[in-house]
Parts: sequence; C-alpha cells; structure tokens
Amino acid sequence: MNGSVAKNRGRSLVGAARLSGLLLTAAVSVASAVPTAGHSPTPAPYGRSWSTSEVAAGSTYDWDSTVPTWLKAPLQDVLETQWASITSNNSRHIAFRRTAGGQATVSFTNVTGVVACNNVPGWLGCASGAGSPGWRIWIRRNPNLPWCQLSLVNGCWEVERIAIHEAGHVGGFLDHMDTSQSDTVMTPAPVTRPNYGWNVRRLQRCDEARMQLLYDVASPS
Amino acid sequence: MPDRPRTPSGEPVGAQGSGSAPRDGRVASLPVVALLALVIGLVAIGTRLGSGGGGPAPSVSPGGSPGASLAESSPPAAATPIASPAATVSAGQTAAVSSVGPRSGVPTALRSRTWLAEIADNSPQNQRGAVSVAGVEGTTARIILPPAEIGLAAAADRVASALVGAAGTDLYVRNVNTGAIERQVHTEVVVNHGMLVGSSLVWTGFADASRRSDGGLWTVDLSAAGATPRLLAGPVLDLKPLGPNVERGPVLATASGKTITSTIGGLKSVHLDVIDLATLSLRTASDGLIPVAVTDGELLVLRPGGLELRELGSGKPHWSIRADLVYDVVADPAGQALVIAADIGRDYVIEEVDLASGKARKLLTQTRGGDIQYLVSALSTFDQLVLLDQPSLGDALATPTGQATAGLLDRNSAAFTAAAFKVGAP
Repeated sequence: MNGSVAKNRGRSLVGAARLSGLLLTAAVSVASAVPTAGHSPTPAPYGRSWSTSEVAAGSTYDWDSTVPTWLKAPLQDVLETQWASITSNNSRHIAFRRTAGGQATVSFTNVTGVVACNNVPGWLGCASGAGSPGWRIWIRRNPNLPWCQLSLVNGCWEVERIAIHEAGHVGGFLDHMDTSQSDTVMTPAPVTRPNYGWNVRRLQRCDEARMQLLYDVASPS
Repeated sequence: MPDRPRTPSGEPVGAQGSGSAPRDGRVASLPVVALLALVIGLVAIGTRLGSGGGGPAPSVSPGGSPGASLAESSPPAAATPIASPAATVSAGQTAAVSSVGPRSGVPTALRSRTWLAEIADNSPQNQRGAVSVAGVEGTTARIILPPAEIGLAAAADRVASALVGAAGTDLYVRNVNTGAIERQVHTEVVVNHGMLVGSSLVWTGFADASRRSDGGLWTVDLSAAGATPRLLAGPVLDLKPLGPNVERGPVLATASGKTITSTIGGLKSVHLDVIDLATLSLRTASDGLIPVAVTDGELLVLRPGGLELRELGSGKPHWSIRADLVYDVVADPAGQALVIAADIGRDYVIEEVDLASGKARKLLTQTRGGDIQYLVSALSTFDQLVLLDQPSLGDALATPTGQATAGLLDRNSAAFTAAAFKVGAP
C-alpha cells in the first residue's frame, strides 16, 4: 500500500489493441469499438500474469460454501484436466490444483462485489485477481440461467464453457477476442446449446498460441 | 471487464433505442378467453407501453418529444402494482432483528449509513441460495430478512426487499431497527433489482415468471400514503435485438437522488434509460452503454480496457482511463470527482478522479500477491472510504450473523487505518 501520488491519467485508449480486462461475462458483444486482431495470436496486452517461479509452484484453489455438489466435478475437470491438456494448451502454463484451504476461490453466486461484473446485464461468469494466488472465479447463480448440467435442453449454458473462459483470464491473463468459437474460448459472449461451440471446454488455437507467446512452448512436439 | 457497446464517440443519444422495436405477438397469442379478460389484457398492456417502449405511438407531453414524458404516459397503474399505505399493511414475513446499541470506532460521517449484504446460503432449505442482511453502520442494528426475500436496497434505516411469487412480487420496506414493515407494495413484475432513492422506491424486473419478457422500470413514492406506482421506462417488447439472456441490470442513482439509470441487455447489446426522478421523465436514452456510476451531468461507462466519462445529454466522451476490472465507485456529492477502485495490471488501485479533467490521484495501491483491502461503496462516503478484505460485504460477513473488520481510508490525506471498526454482528 502506498500514499497518494498525483498523476495525470487522462490518457486516451483509442487505438489501443485492448479488448478488455478480466471477465467473460456474457457481456455485450457489441463490444469493442477497437478492432480485434483477427486471427493473429496477439498476446495479452499486459504481458504474462504469472512469473516463472509462480508457474513452477502452481496455484491452489478451493470452493467456497456457495458451490453446490453438481458444480464441483465440471469445474474441477476444466481447471485441472481440460486447462492443462497438452493437445490444447502446449504452453508452460500454471497448473491449478484444488486443495482444502487453497488460496484462490471459486464461487457460485449472483453477487460478486465487482461492479464491472454485476452491472453487465446477462453476465454468466466473472474473474478477478489474474496473476495472483488469490484469484477468484464467480459462476453465476441466477434463476434466469439454465445450466446444461441441471437441464440439458436447447438454450442451456454449458458451465464448463464458461469456466474455461474464466480460467483463460486468471490462468493466462488472456483478454477477450471477438472471433469465432473455433478460434478461441475468449469470445465475450459464449453460445448456448446446440450452437457450434456450446460445449467447448478446452482452449482453442488462438488461445494456445497466445499462451505460448506469453509462457513459452512446453513441448516442441 | 465486459466488452462494451459500439456507441460511436460523440453520437447523440436517441430516444428509446431498442425499446422502439415493433410490438411482438404477445397480445395476438392470447387464447380464446372471455371478452372481458381480453379487453382488460389489452388495456393493461397498452398502459405499460406508454413510454414508447415498443407499443403504439407514445404519448407526447407538452413541449416534449415522443417518449419524453413518462409520467404523463403512464397513468395510474391500471394493471399492475398497488401500493398499500402503512396503516393498512398486514403482517409480513418475520425478519430477525438484533438489539440496537452504539458501535465504537465508526466515524461520525458514516454512522447513519444503512448497509445491505447478500450472503451465500447453500443449505438445502434455501432455494434462493442466499440470505439478505441489512444494518446501520454506526450501531449494532442488524436485520436478517426471510431467506426467500431478495434484498433490494437499504438507506436511512430502511431496507427494501422483494418476495417473488406466482402472481408477481410483494415489495416490503422495513425499519432496520425494529423489523416493522413500513410499507408493502404488490407488483406484477418479477422483480430482480431495486433501489431506495430519497422517498422513492424504484424497481425493475421481468414481466412474468418465464423471465423472458421485460417488466420495465417502476417507482412509487413512499412518502405519500396510497401513492400508486408509476412506470418510468419500458417494458421493451422486442428483446431479440438484445440477444439471449436478456435482463435488466442494477439501477444506479446520482448522489443527489435526482437522476437514475436503468439498463436492459443481453449478449448482443444493451439499452440505457436515464430518468429524471423529480419529474418522472426520461432525460435521455442510448444504446451500447453500461454505466458503473452516474452524476447529474455525466455517465461513467465501461469501455474496452477501461472507463470513459460521457456527457449525459449528448453522449460526448470527455476522457477515458485504464482499468482492467472495476470493483466499485464512490461519487462526490458535489459532483466534482469520483473515487474508483480497479485492477490496473497486478495492482488494485483506489484513486480519485477529477470529473472535469480526468486527472487521477492515487489514494491507495495494493499489489496482488498479498491480502487486498477492497473499497465497499455501500459502507463509504466520499471522504471516508471503507475497505474490507473481500470485494463484497456479504463475502466479508460470510454468514448472516457474521462480522467483518473494516479499514478506513481518508480521502483527503490518503491515510489508511486498518481494523478501524466492525460491521455486522454486535
């Protein structure tokens, strides 16, 4: 913590290739007035979020009391298995590991305390604290949201699709890319069943490329 | 941060945006029913279209453009909410209140602030998954609302809540100190957000339990016994342009209480209405803006990579600043500045931003990796900023009977005092 520092920050971001910070949210894909980088693997604008030593140590997380039983298996699958899949994330990425009392927290709630999450109508998931052992992911608990794990009907949301996006934020500091579902899981708006990409639960090719640019390639093969 | 709407810089805001879409098949889909019921239904729907929210030609008030006067165009709620004066309020749900005594360590300026927290409760008997708790910062007053009630807002020793049922919502206004129900209002709207602004209760929600149609933005004057609720904006009938997952977002109010905002949006776009609460009229409307704070002259909205201040009337952008994720905002009652808490890179930064120039003065910078003290506007004034170890008060309290330790950041000196006082349990 520090004291006050006067500083002029009336800076213009126009033209900056920043698509936003940390949040899947089902946000408004009307999104960016900023042109996206197409399909090129533009790394996150802020650089890597985890140091080499932090990557080596890994990141521990735990559920808080809001997470119901049905949600734990798909979230753990995404954070530990799908995120780390060598076929979709061949980078020297940080590994997530659930342990009782883990430093990071996953919640299932309609309230985050983050205005940028809660003020976006229709948000589905949100993340904060990227690059910090105390990162948080919120999956939204809301009567308006049919999760496919609870009711596999057309129009449902696949919770693993939301979770892999949030993992991209906290695990890679990846920002949004408004391209196709086959390129990235970092689209600002996911899709519902049965639209293409509704059940994607691994990073896609642009995500992997960005991870490799930031954290290096894990295996040359 | 969310991606933001594609509103060109300087584009004047227009009236009603997506709300001007054609009427959908709602009326035509009515089954064969008694003629009387059909007529009542048509009248009801027509009444709710008065603001230009997608229905027939909107009413025009003297000197106003179509849709400019909502008060004139929304006659006394024919089909919807019915307010009951305090004298006739029947016994409501039982809320648990604590004994009330003074709380030490709370600065004078914060003592009268009334807070509301949403606390997770995953117990099997609580289908909502949360419990709402309210209290008064300077005392040990605390009220635990019935689990089924959604806490909407708290101010001036009162807490407003919503009990959603099969036929709409019962809205309650309780005294935080005594638990007494001071006012009860029924609305057909399935309420999802609300706010206490001065003597007004404002709410939004869905038109029915399907949660796939807009219920609009409503208000009732709590100071006038028997006052009837008034429609302020919407309902938007054609939600398709907004994409899937449409809902109304939280209502925001200015520090003066003169102006409120309401958004409705889904995954494709969002529509914003700005209402003058004194005249119950629409000040402006626009598409593509998600506000995180509002003053009587400006909107602070999300934009790619940060925040942008826009003029309320014209939509003209004044300045923008970087913010990777915005946590909370506290407005200056004088309308000169805002205190913003946001992630910037690996830092959690609390800074004061001058509204005229966009110049920022950092008050507190905390680097991620250690414990973070988060700004909580619900407990703060502009000069006395209250910080907790969780971004939401509910998480900091952890349980309905829990207690949180508050730190205090003085805006003028930027001096931080850890563990200044307690919030929650006596």
